[in-house]
Amino acid sequence: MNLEIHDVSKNFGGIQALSGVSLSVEGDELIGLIGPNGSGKTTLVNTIGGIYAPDRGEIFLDDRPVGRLKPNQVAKLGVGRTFQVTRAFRRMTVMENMLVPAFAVTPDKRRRELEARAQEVLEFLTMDHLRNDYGRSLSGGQQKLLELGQLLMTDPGLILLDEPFAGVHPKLMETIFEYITTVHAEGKAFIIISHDMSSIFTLSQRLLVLHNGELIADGPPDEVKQEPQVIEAYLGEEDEEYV
Amino acid sequence: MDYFLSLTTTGLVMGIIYALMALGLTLIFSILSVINFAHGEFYMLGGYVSYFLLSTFTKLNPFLAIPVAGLAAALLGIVVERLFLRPMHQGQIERPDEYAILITFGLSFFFQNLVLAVFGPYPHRPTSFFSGAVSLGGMRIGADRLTASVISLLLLATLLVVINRTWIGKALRAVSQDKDAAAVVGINSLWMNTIAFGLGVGLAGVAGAVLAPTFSVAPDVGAVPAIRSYIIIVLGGMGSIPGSILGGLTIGLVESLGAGYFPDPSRALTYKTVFGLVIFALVLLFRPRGFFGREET
Repeated sequence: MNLEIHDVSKNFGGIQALSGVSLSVEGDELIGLIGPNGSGKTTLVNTIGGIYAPDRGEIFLDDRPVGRLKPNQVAKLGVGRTFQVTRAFRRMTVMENMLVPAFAVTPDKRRRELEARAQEVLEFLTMDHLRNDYGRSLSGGQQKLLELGQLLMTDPGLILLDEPFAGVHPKLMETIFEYITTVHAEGKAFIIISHDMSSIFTLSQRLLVLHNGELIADGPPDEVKQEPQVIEAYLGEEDEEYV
Repeated sequence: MDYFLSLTTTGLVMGIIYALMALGLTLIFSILSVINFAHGEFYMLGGYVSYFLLSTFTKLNPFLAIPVAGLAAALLGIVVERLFLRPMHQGQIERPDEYAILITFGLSFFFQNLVLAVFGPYPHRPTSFFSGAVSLGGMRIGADRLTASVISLLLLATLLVVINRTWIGKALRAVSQDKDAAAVVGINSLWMNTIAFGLGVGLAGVAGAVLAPTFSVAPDVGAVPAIRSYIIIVLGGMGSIPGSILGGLTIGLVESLGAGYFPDPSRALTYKTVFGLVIFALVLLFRPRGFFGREET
């Protein structure tokens, strides 16, 4: 799946969250999206995913303009995403959480087929023993895994992950790492927001850096981390763990 | 003991009907985040549809009027949702909460005055389902009231199956829990709003039709059931389906037992609603979120 972002800007009551952002994602790239707090990373993901419409500019998915589409329409075009704070359905079982996206995106598939797929995904995520547990009873890390599992039920071409490693136990982090590398090897593109620099530098083939809503760097991680603008953006933030 | 059982049975019979009415309101609130102040008027319209059909087609089986009344209320609800409520969910309304209150109150007045102009101010009673009373374990219950209760129970069970077992039901639950999360997994929340509003007011229409032979229909007949429904959904926990059912049964029981054991029988019925309100106040005092109120997330 190809994503093109042309000169996208987004303003919230005078705060310029995104300012003329342009980039393209081709095929199955695995991209890291970093930047100091408030730099516009989540806004960019929300704009790609249809939660916000851009004030200016346009977004194309396989040459189709999608900037004004609703999130459900974007999801049906093959864009899956997770949230920074997990949003699994708390009053549904794990299995129901898995089936709801599949029913929504592929209503023509048979229930039995979808349940088999959900079981397969849960086993991959080592969560099959929790299939009848409610979302609210899962730990934060398990809820993150559940969201990742939901994504696989809709078979998206582009996956947007917002802070997948935040607050996650090291063991679960390994599972998330494995998830990303395995799913990426199946030909899916990823854009991953993370403040965990070691993970993002290890995983990414390409790194995007946002600062004050502007894209200030775009390239291979080793090159990007040497760029003066990037170093300056991070050194301005005392609490960042930029290396 | 027989008297207690008799009052309990009557309370449960009425409680099931209350629950049906409140369930529609809960469904609408949990999906659209709107308190439908015209809910009682959809109940009233259901009763009038039933009355109109049965008085126009005098040979019509009274049971056939029930689905027609429910369907008519649901279709009207869909039109109302699409015309008046959808703009607020599309971000076209600056102050959506105030707008929803004004719109639903406005519709309430409009529908009341509409039927006043068409049918006049006097109560009408459609044909009974069955005449007389039924003996149930030694207790006498009006046949129409019992019929209304059985129909309500069947509808409640059907609705629970739909909500918990079908794809539409799961999608409705997903939207009620988190609209954004539901949208990013592909659920069209605008459609779910329309379905929930149509279904919710359709249930009110059915409740109006099944109770019309018992309580008659008049332009203001929806006011008391609507107020009772608001109490039930707060009592059960805003947006909770099991809460609405338990709340409906609780109010039905409390009203029946309270009126039955009130020291002055000549005034007992006058205070019927008050007994429910007392329980309502007590529950809110000790459990402010109601029986199954959702935790803040």
